[in-house]
Amino acid sequence: MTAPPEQPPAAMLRLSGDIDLATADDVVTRGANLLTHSAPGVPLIVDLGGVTFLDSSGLSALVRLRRTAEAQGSQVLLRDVPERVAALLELSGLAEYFPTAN
Amino acid sequence: MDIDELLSEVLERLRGILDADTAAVLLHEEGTNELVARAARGLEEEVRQGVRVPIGVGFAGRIAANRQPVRLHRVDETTVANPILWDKGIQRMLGVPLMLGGRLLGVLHVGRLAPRDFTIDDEELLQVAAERVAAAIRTRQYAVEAAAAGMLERSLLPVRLPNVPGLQLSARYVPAENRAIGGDWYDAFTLPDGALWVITGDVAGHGLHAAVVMGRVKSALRAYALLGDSPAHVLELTDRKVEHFEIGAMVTVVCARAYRPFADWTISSAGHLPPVVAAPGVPTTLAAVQPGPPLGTVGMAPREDAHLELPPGGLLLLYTDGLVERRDEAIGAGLERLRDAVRAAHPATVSREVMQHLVGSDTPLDDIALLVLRRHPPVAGDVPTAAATTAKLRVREFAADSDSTRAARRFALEAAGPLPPAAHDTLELLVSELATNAVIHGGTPFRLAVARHASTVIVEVSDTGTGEVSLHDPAASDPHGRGLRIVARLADSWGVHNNGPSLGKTVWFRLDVAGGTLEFSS
Repeated sequence: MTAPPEQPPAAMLRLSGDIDLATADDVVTRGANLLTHSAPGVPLIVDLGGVTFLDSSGLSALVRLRRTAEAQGSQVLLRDVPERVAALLELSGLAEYFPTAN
Repeated sequence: MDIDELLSEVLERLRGILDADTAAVLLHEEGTNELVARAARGLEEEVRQGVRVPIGVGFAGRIAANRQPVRLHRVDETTVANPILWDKGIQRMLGVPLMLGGRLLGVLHVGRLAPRDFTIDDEELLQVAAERVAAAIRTRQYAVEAAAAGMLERSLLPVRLPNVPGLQLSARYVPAENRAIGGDWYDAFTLPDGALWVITGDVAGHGLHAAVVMGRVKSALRAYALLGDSPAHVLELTDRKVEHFEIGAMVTVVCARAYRPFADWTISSAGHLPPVVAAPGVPTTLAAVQPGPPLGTVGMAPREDAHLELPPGGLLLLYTDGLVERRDEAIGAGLERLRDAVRAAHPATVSREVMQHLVGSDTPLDDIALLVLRRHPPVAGDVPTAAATTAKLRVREFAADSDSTRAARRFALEAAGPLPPAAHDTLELLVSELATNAVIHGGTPFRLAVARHASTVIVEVSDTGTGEVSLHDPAASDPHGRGLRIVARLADSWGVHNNGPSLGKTVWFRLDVAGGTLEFSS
């Protein structure tokens, strides 16, 4: 887990390590925080490049972030999705709900 | 034209021809043995108020009871039971029974407000009309019955057999010639306690009535099975229900119940033919199940459970008598032929072979229900469990803590030993899902058991919490409910075992880790 300290033009949440029951809530808190401080309509980009593991708790966090974003007219884009995470999104029928940004 | 339009038109014409002011049809309702007003002219309130007349009572009731025409020259409370008729001021009445083939369908009657008697000619004319009305009603009733039977067939037959890890199942249902449905059925279901029940039964009689009783008995058996009792006790309870609520019904049924790995079967029979048992390398036999009396025959009979051992690869076949009974031979000969036709092969193959040998191209005279199950043969590997296998087994307990899911993943990967990358990722994910569920829903420390046996990894997660295990199909916007679905999709087999009251549950899965052939990740 790392923080996104730099100030990107779009809201950017950079994740690393294991996203599971122990870390999922923190992901949601940080992402929601970024959305709150962004201008309306600015998408939240979630960079998954450093993620080593992600399970259904991680999927749950992404779904919750997507809901928060939609509520304020924004959206969640994924970046640098590891192959196994992409496979899990596909398997869970969520792939089309999370467009990628590159 | 539908029956109501037809009746209206006939009644209107009769009023004209017979110079009558009222005309009405009441139909016989077999269930209550009453006449029910179905169509009327000049007396519409009779239908609107749903007038009912017991057979034998009053004017229409007497016509129905004696199946003879009646002419009334006085209409009051002494001759007519229905107050609508005398309130109306009707002075004269004439009624005839609606008969078809010796069967009472109802009553047709006309009335006059003027005190002018109906003649014998009027009576003959009304009887001619009654014959035509009866024929039209019967035709209509047949059509309704056939449509209802078709709907019942679709609603009463099992939609599909349950998917049971460790077992293969196959079933057939063939109604007798020219019928949509009869009183035979098969049923197979699993219960929350992990029990698998298989049943075949036969309600004596044919047609819609037998099918309806069958539906109720099938449902009662399921309900009583849910109580957790043995087949004998479930049959005792169902017998009481049949005795009390299905008067005159006679039902034969055989119930068999087993828990994973489906080696020990408990079987009880109510007058039903014995199941056939086949196993690799031994002769096929009829199960030694001493039948009790059929349901609905003697009342409150104490019933017994028989026990049957089914080895890996063993097969159990339940059937109804239509399969073995032929008009020209004793039943023993049919049972002999059935035994000769059954072997311990795949249930779908056995179903096909049995139907081929015993039915062939004959149209069956009676319904046939057939249910076949087989334990997985030993070559393909019985569904192993971590506790039962002789392979290297590692067990550790974890706290109900969110950090435990990571620790559980590490432990499982280490215990499983070297794995191809795809299998590594899948195992890590599935262990994480079960551990997460144990922490969230169990709320108590959980035990993780991991066994590696050649190219198979078996994992069990046990907790003592009271949380229920259920498989969801969450919407894309739903943040929860995906864990077990992922396990169901990626594991080669999986299941839940209820360990008993206050002992919690075990969720297990088996993963074939050979060659990294899993679709998930690579």
